[in-house]
Amino acid sequence: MKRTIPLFITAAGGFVLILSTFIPMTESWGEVASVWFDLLAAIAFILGGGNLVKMHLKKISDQKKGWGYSMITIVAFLAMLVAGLFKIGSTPAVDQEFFGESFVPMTVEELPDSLTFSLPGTIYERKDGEGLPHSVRRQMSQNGNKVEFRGWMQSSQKSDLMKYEDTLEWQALVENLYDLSQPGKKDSNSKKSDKTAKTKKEKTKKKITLKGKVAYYANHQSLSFKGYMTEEHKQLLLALDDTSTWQEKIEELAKKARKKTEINLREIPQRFQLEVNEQTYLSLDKTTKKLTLLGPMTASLRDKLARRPYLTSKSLSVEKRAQFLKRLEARGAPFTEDQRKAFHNVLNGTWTLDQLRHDLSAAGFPEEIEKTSNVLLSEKKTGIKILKNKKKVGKHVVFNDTQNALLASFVDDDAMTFRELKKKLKKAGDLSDGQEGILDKFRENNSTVGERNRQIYFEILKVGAVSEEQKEELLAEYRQADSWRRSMGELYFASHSVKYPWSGIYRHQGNPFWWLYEYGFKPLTATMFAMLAFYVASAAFRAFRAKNLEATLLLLTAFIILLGRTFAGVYITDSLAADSEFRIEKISVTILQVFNTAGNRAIMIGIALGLASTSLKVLLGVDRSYLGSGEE
Amino acid sequence: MVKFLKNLDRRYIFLLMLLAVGIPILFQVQFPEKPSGIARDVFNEVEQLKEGDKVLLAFDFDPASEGELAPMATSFVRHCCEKKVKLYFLALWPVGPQMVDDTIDRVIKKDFPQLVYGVDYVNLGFKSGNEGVIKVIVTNLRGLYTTDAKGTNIDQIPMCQKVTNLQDFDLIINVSAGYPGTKEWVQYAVSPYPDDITLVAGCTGVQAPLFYPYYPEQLKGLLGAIKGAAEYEELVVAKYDKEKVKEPDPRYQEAKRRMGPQLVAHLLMVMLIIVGNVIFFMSRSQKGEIS
Repeated sequence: MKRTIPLFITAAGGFVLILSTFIPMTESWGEVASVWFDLLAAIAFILGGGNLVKMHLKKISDQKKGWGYSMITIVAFLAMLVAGLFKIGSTPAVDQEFFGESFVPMTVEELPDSLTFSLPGTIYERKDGEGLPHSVRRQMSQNGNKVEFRGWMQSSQKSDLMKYEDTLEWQALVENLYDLSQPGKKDSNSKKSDKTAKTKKEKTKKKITLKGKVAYYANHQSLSFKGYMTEEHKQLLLALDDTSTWQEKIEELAKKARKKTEINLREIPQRFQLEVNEQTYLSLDKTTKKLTLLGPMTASLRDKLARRPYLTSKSLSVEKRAQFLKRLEARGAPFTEDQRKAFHNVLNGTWTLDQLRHDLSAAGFPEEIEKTSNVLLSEKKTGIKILKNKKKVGKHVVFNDTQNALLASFVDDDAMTFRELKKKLKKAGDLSDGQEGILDKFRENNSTVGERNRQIYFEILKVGAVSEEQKEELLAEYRQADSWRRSMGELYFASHSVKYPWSGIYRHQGNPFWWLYEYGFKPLTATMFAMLAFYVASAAFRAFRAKNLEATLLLLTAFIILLGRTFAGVYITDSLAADSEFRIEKISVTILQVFNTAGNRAIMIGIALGLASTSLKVLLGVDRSYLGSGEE
Repeated sequence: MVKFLKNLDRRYIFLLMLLAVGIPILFQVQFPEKPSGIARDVFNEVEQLKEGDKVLLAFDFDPASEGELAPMATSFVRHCCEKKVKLYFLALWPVGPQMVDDTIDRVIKKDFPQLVYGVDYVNLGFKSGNEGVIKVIVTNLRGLYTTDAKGTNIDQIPMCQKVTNLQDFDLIINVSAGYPGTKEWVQYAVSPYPDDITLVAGCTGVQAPLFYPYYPEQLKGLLGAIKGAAEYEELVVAKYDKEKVKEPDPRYQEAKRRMGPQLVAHLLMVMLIIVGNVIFFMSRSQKGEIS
């Protein structure tokens, strides 16, 4: 029995693999067998490790010759194993963390009934048997003649469902279900409250919804809240269900989404100010230089705060350039001609008014967007045979004279920001969404004044000397911006609650495993391999003798290959014609491609035939040597 | 003299080898390279790819052979990035993922920062099972690779969504230092699907002669050791730097740089064999005279 089971497994595995190779219908059997093999191979690592420890521990215990080396092996093995297995020093994987969000665990079943959205329809069954996308399987189901979805549907889930089946009917159903299941749709008290709100302030306050703030991650079984949770948000969430479980979970979520984080700032930029809506969760104490945040920080808030105090660079007029240059030269020796060229080259790279005008003008044309499946379906129902996927929305926006004048003055006004420009342009006339996007793009994609000055510094430094004062003038703002940006990064990480602490990679740069690998394993293995060169040289000198004809042939071949695989071969027979077959590099190729190939093929064919017969003996149980010599 | 050479302490040979390798490294000795046909075949296979094609790069080597294989891995990745193809990295060796990370840092992050992880390149990591892994992924990649090396679900990686098996790739590039390596890729991937799978490889010097029987049918091109890497580098640099009158970055000339010490070391080996044989024949003739 002890031998029969392994024999049976070997035979079954072997025959399955043979069948799967020759019969396409059984291809999947081979896959399953191979996956099992791969799993067993992984387990073999554990067995191998265990065996290594056992052998060396025995050697140490018996104090056999060289037991010290065994000790080193055991220590190194355990150090690598512990450091790698427990991921010591690895930070959680950024792509698996949800920065800016707070979580409470929640199963799909625990979601309130008010978050079950349903629409009449049927879940399609695909012809290929493929089920619903993994991302929605826990939340989507068929209930009678209705399709139900539990929780708020995310755009990625909608996208997965749209790809699941390409009929317009299905896609229209998904779109409707998506719209229905968006947070904010059921915050009906907001609409109700609008009517009763008296003041403008009250109206604004009452319009708060959960849209963009809450999410349900079915695969993580978690309810999430983005950013800081206001009392209004909390009440909206509590109103969704009155069960004690839900109420407790929301209280817990609120606590997490209001966690206080405080950092000490190195310095506060002069232009930095908190906006009114930010003051609910951010406070700045200018005397103690403390910035306090309630709740987690989103990446967009971090970037917004980091960039806000610093102006985007603008193209400088000839006069302004001259003044700038004069100011710089006053702080040190006059620049050389090359330095001046470098200075102007950097400034020439700044965006211009014409570029901004051109882009804004192009963005003023009506935008072409894709029609929704609902629109396409209704068009289809009206009898339109050729459906067009796209439609134009909005009107053609052309800037009026006031807006054009604003643009011109914006470039000259050093203090005016893109945000201010946007506000003024809106006030002065029409501004399309696309044009707003262009202004944002210009603000975000172009360098700040500090970044531009830093670039000037490095460019002029490449071609000449720069005094300490000039350096200070050019780098001061960038240095301050960098320090501010770091502070915002510090706050971003400090306010984050780690969701998956073990999600980092074991070989994270700087952790103990990485150190052991980089400074222990890597140089040691490379050294072992490199030492071959020394031993081969010594062996060649002592043992490579032309004792007989075969050895002489081997020796000559070695000479040709050794020379032919370097430039020496080319150099020695350089006097021969380029296409001559007697050039050493060509002879070496001929040896490898003709003589070596022929010899190797003969060996390979022999091995293959031997393998076939040996495999058959193993599979049929004739050869059992691989099971060991023990008697049953 | 003959007696001295006959009883030469092997440490002198070690010293000579050290000098033969060390001096060219110190003086940065470099020699021109003329690409061979087999290296040109590798280059052409990559060169004929179109933008957006899928390329699987299997890095089956470790730090021991990094000195010999890292330059060709660098050139492969650079060439693929220049061709704007989608790169899928995987490894059948446990330390392969580190080799992949090093190459990504060396090439993609430095020179192609615009490439996005998950959209333009992905690291599928290491899987145990040697040829067993190839046997599965040749028909069902998703059955074995459910996540990438970072643990991200493969369904959430945009560039993996349309990949089901090895036959979906336009080219497989294998950098191999032994078992499992090129031989297994030929036997378990190319041989069952010769019309659907194209393989080129780079390998260590000791392996190269064993793979010549597969060329040019199962293996469309082969780079043998640092010499093959230097030839391939020459072709890539000629196409993407010299054509643009650009000074090639030393990172893309690494194999060529390493050919300097190799040439001197090979010459030393030839010299040692000759000297060894001269001593051998002189001793034999002396013995003959005595007898």
